[in-house]
Amino acid sequence: MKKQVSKMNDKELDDFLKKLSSSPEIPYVPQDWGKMEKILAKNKGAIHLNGYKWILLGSILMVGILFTTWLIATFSHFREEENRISTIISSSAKIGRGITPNNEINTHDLEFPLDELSGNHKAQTTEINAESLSQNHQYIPGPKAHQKVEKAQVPILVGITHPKRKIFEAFNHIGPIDKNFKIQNQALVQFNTQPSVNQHNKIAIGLLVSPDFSAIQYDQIPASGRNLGISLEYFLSERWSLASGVIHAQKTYRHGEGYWGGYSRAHQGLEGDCWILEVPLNIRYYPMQGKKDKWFVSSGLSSYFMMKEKYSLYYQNYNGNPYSREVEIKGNNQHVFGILNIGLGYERKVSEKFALQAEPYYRLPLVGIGEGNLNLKSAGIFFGIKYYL
Amino acid sequence: MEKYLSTKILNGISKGDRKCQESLYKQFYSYGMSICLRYAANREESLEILHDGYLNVFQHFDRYDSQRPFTQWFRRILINGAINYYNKNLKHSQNIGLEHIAEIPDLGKNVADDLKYMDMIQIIQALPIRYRTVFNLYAIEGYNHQEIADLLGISEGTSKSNLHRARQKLRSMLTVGNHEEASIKNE
Repeated sequence: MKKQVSKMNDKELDDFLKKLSSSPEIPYVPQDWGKMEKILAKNKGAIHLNGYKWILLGSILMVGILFTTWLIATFSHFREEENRISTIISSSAKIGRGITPNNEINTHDLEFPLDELSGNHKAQTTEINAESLSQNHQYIPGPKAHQKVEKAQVPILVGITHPKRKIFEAFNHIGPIDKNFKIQNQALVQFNTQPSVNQHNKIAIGLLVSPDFSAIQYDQIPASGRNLGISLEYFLSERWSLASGVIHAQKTYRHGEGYWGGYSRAHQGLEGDCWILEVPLNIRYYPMQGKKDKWFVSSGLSSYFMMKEKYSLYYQNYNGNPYSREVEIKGNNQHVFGILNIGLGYERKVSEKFALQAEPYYRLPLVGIGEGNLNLKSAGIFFGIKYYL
Repeated sequence: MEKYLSTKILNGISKGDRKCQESLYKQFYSYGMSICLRYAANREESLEILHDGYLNVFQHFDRYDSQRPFTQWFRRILINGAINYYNKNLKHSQNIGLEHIAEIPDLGKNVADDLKYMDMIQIIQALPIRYRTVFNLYAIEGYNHQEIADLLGISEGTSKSNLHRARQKLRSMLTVGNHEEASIKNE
């Protein structure tokens, strides 16, 4: 039984149209696939940007340099210790060999590497002095500068059998006899127990804040975003450090005409806001260091973890009327080591542990950022306070 | 129509193989187009929604659960695309009217079988976008008013009102368009 449309109730009308719309055979149009291919060509996932391959090669090189620096920093410590010991030994031996009766002792020959002596050497020196005194031998105070003194044979120290100490034997055999002889009750070598202002701390933590200027093209910089974060810096040596941290960034940017987001028609304009967790990994070099000041250059790679992206896309429809499309994406785009960092900074110590720093930075993406694969560049100045542990 | 994807297609799409993408596009073109045509005002805009949907399929294929019918996932994507289309055209949509119904190209094949479908599409496309979207979501897709209100960001009352007016318009257009002969089997 058939029923006229005008006499159908609501449900019958709905069912009629639903049945009519089910599984129709719409002929395939090959040209439509051609249009789809063009869209696919423009949306190949994360687009590589800004000389990606060269920068990747550079990054590998940087990691190599970093590793080498670490190796040097680690093993140079042991070498320095060895050098110090051998310097002391050779200086002492030289003194011993060079002194003969009636010769003149010049204090220049007695120049120990005083500044470099560490606690261990101090202990060694002190031990020898103590033994000298305890055995009631004449203790010979150090000669005075450019002073001619009489020399005399000194009895060999008893009980010095250790091979390392034999080098002192010759020195102990002779020595000047000062008329004002007295027991030296202070160490001849002065050790500086006060820490230097720019002492070498291994780790520093910091708080950072910065305005952020992001743009896809340099002539389209809107109102600034901001960065807030914490940093952790590990010093590989006095001049090299590895810096990382977590930065919560809010970036605002806009763009003119372009293609975005799957619609085959280009947009007339774009406004974007995104909230990002940024994890930088930078290597820093401090080429200039004063008593309170430091200058550094910094470079490395950042990872962007996009927490939220909000876009307004402005189009024109077929009649030429403008319309907009709002897009909000949450947690959909991550770019691990996809951004190159370059920075130049100044740091000033305000106390033994605290320092203030300012670091202008530039972020250059190596892959397309966010849902729209945007070439989103950022710049700003990090202001921070740093605490040396 | 096969609702599931073959292993070859599944693997190929995952690897971004263009041939497999084309096979999938071809296989579900008719299915996808039949949905998009109902939501858009003309064929070109339907194609936009369809291509947006396919792009999502290809870019986020890892989210597809191959244990479930592909058509189910694809349909959901296309309806989301249609809602985006609704949002972007809402402010500037016009009531086209029957006299301005855009011609759908007669592509020759199975014309006799598709004729009534194409008539229906022309009539639905002539509806204002508010009515068209609500009618499609309620009558064809089976959403209730609360769900439609959430999807479109309108009140439940507005959804009901738009549906009522959509039906009125449809009846009117079917009568004016001399579609009185359209009938259903009322068994």
